[in-house]
Amino acid sequence: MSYQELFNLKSNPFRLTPAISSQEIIWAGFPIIKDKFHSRIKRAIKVPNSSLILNWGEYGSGKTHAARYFGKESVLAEISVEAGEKIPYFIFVTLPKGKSPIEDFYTNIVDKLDIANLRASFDLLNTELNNYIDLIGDNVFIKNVAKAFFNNDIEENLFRRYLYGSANAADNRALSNHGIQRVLNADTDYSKLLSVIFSCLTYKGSVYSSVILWIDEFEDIAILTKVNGDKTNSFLRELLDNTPNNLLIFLNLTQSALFNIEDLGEYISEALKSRIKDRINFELPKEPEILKYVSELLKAYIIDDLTESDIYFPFNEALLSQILKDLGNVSLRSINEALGTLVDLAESDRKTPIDFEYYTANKTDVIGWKN
Amino acid sequence: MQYIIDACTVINLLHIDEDEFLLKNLQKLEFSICKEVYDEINKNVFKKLQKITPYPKERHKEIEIKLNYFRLCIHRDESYKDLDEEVSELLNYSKKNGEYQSMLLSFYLNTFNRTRVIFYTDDSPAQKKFIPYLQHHKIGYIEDSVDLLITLYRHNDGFSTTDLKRFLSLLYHEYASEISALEKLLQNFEIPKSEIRNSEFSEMVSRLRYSINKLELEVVAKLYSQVKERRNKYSSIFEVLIKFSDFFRSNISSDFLIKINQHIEFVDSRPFYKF
Repeated sequence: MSYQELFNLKSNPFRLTPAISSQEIIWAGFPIIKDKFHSRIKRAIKVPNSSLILNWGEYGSGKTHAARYFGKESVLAEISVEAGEKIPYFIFVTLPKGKSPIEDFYTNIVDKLDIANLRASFDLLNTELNNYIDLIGDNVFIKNVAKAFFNNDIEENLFRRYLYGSANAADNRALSNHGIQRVLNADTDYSKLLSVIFSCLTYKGSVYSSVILWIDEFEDIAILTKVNGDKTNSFLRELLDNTPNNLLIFLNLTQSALFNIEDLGEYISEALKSRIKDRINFELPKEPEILKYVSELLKAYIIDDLTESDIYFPFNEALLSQILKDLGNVSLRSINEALGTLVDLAESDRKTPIDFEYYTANKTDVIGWKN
Repeated sequence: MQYIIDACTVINLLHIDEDEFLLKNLQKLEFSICKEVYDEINKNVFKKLQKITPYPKERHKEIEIKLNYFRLCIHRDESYKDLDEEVSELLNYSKKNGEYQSMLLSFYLNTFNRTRVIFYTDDSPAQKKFIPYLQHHKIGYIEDSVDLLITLYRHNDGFSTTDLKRFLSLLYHEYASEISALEKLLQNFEIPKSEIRNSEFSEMVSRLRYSINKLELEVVAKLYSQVKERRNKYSSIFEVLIKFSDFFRSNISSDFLIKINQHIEFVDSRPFYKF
């Protein structure tokens, strides 16, 4: 209630980690970056060629937030309408860091595939889809598994058990009638199967125009063993090679203790590097960008538009400029942390609006030692 | 030459040696471990990041079998402890930890068996503290896990350059995965509302974030000690750091991580001599 009473805000808008709930995810400020993603996705919807995009920035610069925002159905639907095509199929995964990254990668992607829904969506196209599957690739076994993926006659749970490698003898007997006589092999089958499924999802653009695979924390490729790093590179390369059309892969890369963009060549193979079409940089924000961000963020949290006219309320522009000056060149997360702390302090002191005097009195708590 | 191995080095070997390949190669070297070091290994071998992801149960048996081998390497004759008072004074060191016991054994073996000693440890403060004494008294040297892997490669026919790169890479992964996990937790740590007026608290969080991002591991370890000493004051950040207590105990330096990567490159660019 206090945020509402004091600041006319639903809650403290300055959060450190991106919201999970789709309704809470909004985009504030940074129109250039937003446009870049918007046009990249629009291009992927309209232009068939598959592509790979790197998103680069410091911790807390907004890469994961961008993935969550552009993964929202409403946002993708809006871009699709603009492009005059169907919505893309969106998959968000984090780079696996364990000892079996390809198995983990595959499992994470399969986890996100809603088989029941997909089967329902493609039900009327099933015969056409089977004919299409016959035309792509030469691996009869993979084709049979892909056909089974869309086959309503095969019980979903049984098929999931098969995909996860945990099918029992009865499951295997049932599947052998559909031309599936062996288990999937991580090294040879996972990327091929996913590629065929991705190609099917975008068949004729009837249900989905494209597939967006957004991989977060890709910088952790630097901590994988050489063997697993190579396997991850090959997996992604095969995925792109075997899905020549309608696949857009975003890789989120963070400048971390063990990874710098200059070292990228050490961890990404030449084959994969040659497939990178663009790099979207999340630079440290400048004052005008932050002011726009703050005003738009506050607007999204405001309860009653009519009560306050100042777009920076409960702050004011001069105060924000001073805070930014005191913070120096820092990431968006540091700015959120400072402003979030200031709002929390003012809320506990029941101080509104937040003025220069109040900020000065609490500066040590807000700015901290070094951001 | 007599080889003595510290707990962190053995734990690394146990974790990266998935098929007993290293163990078989290691058996060809004559090495000893102190009883205290063995106890430390036994106590900590399954603790790696246990509060984040439990150590895989299916690997427990395999590790326990390997531990039996190291049990056989315990230096059972405890006569070396007779040198305790003298060596402790000489080293100006009062802790009776595994590193100290290994030093005691080094002095003993060198003096009574007239053999040079190589003590393998990745513990950076232990290296800094003891190297001058080993050199000054002509006892031997301190080397680390990288040096040990290269020695094993050079002296074993079946140990290929591919194996060497694989094990160095696995060693890097052992430490790097913990650093990466720690960095992510610190960067995502939200200062609790109850601590927003505690400038010391937010300063500590900022210092930790800054130091880990700059890979200043020694600074991070010092800050961890401060947090641990005043755990009531820093309780919420202490809960994050305690998950990495084994990593902090290993006391590795940033230079050591750089050394591992550098030596992975050396395998091709400056190959190690092998007859």
